Amino acid sequence: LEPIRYHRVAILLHWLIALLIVVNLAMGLTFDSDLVRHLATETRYGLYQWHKTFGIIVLFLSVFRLGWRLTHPAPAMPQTMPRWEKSLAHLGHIGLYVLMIAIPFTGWLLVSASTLNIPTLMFNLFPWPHLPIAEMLEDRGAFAKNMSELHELVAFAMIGLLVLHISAALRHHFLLKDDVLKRMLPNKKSN
Amino acid sequence: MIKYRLYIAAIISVIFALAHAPTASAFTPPTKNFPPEASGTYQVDTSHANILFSATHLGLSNYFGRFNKMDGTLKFDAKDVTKSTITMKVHAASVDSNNSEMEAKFQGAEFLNAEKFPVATFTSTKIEKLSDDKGRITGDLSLLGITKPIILDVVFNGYALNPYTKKPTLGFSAKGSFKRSDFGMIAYIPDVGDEVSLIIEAEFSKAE
Repeated sequence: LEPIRYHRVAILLHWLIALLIVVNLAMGLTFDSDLVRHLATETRYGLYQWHKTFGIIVLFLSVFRLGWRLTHPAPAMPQTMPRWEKSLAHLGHIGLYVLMIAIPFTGWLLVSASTLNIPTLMFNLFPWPHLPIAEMLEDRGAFAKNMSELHELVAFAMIGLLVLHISAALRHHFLLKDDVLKRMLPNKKSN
Repeated sequence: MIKYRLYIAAIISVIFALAHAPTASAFTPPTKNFPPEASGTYQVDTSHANILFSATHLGLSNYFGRFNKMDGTLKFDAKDVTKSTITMKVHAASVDSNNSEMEAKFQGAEFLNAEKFPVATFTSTKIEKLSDDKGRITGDLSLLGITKPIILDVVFNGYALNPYTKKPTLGFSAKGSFKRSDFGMIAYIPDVGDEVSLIIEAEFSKAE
């Protein structure tokens, strides 16, 4: 019943989201660097707008992907994997889904609450709505600051989980020599 | 495989090229010659608004404090600025003097009585234009349930499209003073001065 490979939609979503996450993590990690601090203000402004654009895209693709995952069975893990390892793998994947949604969502919350009233411009061009939370908050600034810390925390959690995720994929491919990585790689023949 | 790598490399290059492109236009400094379409309703930008107050302490120094929470609406008439109106609401409990003990005293019944009078209001009644960038606003100050006119001397710093908020924005500096005893706030006079000076620096963003 379970397919051998991931569906090409699942594969496309995986790599597209992966690319955007890596780009956004790199941006997030460098926003406070001297390099970015010394850029012209409008370039910095643009970088933040692209960071927010990718985040919103990741958020919606991830919600769609979660729906897809829940309605399309994933290929079974290799028979050779011990039970605890399978459970750990499932747990890791659940964690990745939680973070894929939580990171952009905390970012969206923080820009929505911020007292600076900076709009979110998709592709640095057209405005994207903010969540209607500003009126509900007693202290917008404090909420935005807390959310900013949470945004950073979940992003670092993602970096940790990504290291595990990539190490596990490489271990399967190079050490265990099974098809766990291959079935998530684009392949024109199947599907 | 090679084809996919090419795609990925292309996508990454495009993303970085776009990300680094300075697409936001460079900031045009504030102008005092605002266009007619500058007319409209503006809200105070609470993250760029400062309402400072001061009074002498024993004649030794001037003690400063500020209010952190406010609302303000400016109905700006670009064709005839004297037809504009402004209303500011200042939340008494948000008084800040860098000293929580003193803040509690200011919030208390002797001074602002924030529990009974949570909001002080200023409503303009007359706006005079003295020069291109200077004006005088007469308005009613409601404080501790008493309403009396006060005068603010205003400097108009300019009109600009704020490059961060992307909103038309007006910037002002204002000064004024009043006697707090006029509003029944008599505690510690004259050790703490009767005359309260106001220093206001505020930006107003055009409402959608």
